[in-house]
Formats: sequence, C-alpha cells, structure tokens
Amino acid sequence: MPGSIEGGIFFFPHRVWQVFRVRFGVGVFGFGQRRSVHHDAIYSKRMPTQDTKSASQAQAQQQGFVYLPLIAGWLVPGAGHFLLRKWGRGALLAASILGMFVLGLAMQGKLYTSAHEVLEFLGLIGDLGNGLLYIISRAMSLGADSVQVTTADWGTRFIVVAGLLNVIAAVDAHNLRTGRKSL
Amino acid sequence: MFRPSHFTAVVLFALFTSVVFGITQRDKPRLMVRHGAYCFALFVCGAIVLSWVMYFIAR
Repeated sequence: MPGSIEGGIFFFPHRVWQVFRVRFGVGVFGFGQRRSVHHDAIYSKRMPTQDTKSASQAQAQQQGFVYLPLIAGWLVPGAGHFLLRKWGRGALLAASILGMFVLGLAMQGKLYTSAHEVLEFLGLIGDLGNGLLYIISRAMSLGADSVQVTTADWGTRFIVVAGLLNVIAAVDAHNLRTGRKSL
Repeated sequence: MFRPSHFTAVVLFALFTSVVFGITQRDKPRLMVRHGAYCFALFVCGAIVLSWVMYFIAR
C-alpha cells in the first residue's frame, strides 16, 4: 500500500527522495526509465501489492501435477478437495455422493455393465463417474441385474446421478487447483 | 432393501444434488448455502408442481 510507505516517510526522512523518484519517475536514469526497478525495490520488501500477491499465488498454484485433484476426486468422492485442504467442502461432497450411491444400491438400483444400446451406454458413462465406487461395487457384484420394482428404477437413477455429481466435484477441485476458481 | 415413498426419494435426490451444486457453483460459503437452498427449493417445488400438472393431464 502506498499509504503505508508514505506514512513511513516521517520515520525515515532519507527515503523522501527515493519515494519521490518512484512516484514521479525522475532520477539519475531519466523520467520513468527505471521506475519499475525502484518500485519493486521499495514496495515489494515492505508491503507486497495485490498484484504481486496474486502473481505469487498463481505461480504456487501452477507448481506440481495440476491434474492430481481431478483424478483423486474422480476415484474417491471428495478426495480432490481434501488434497487442497478444503476439509468441509470435501466432507460434504463425499457424504452427498456416497449417500446417493449407497441409497441407489439399497434401492436395488442397477449397475450398467454393457453398452449395447445408446441408453445403456449413457448410463454406463454416468456410472463410471463414480470411480472406485463403481469398480468395487462391480467386483462385489452389488446392484441388481435387472430393474424389477419401481424403487429399483429410482435407485438406478441415483447411481447414475451420483457419478455425474462426482465428475462435477472433481472438475471443481481441478478449478480450485489451477486458480480458475478462488480458494 | 430401502423402499422410500416417491416424495421421500424426491427430497433425498434434491438434498444431495443441491449440496453438490451449492459447493461447486459458488465461491463463498454464504453464497454456497444460498445457492444450495435455492436449488433444493426449485427441485422440490418443481416436482410438486409437475406432479399436479400430470395429475390434471391424466384426468
């Protein structure tokens, strides 16, 4: 903040000329020629501006494997947000998606296993959004083979929608990681 | 086996979906709660309104 720097002038009179050069771009190097250098030398050490803060934050966000929250969030619901230390959001997302998936299975919903028809193919894509939940459930032979009752039809929809919501949550974690969405 | 009523299934669906929508579609916690509540109300009220519309169409 320039205001705090100017306030410091009263305690450090020898900086008056330095601040004047920065403000008006004058000095031994000419008008505005080295203004950015002086500006950085004075302001960055004392009080980083919003631009330098956001720049350093963006630089820190770009380090590492940016797709890790996306993949983790897809495999395990809420894990992408847990990786970013968003514990509350991650817990709520995990509870919602897990709850929806488990309720779907409890209603004897069907897990899509083949893609012979277009609707089955779309259902399979939705189910695959559940990540490890789908794989483990398939391995344990959970879910009904065919829809027998009305609640099983709702359960099938619950499972598919849980997968789609999980994809949305994983993409949200990726956006948080890349800085597209503010933390 | 879990056998909910149709309305219970609607409320459960709206609850879980609204939580995810609220968290993922807004930045601030306060706005998340508001958006989640808005989605929940839209889901439930929309289901009730459509149910009555279908009821009168079927008569």
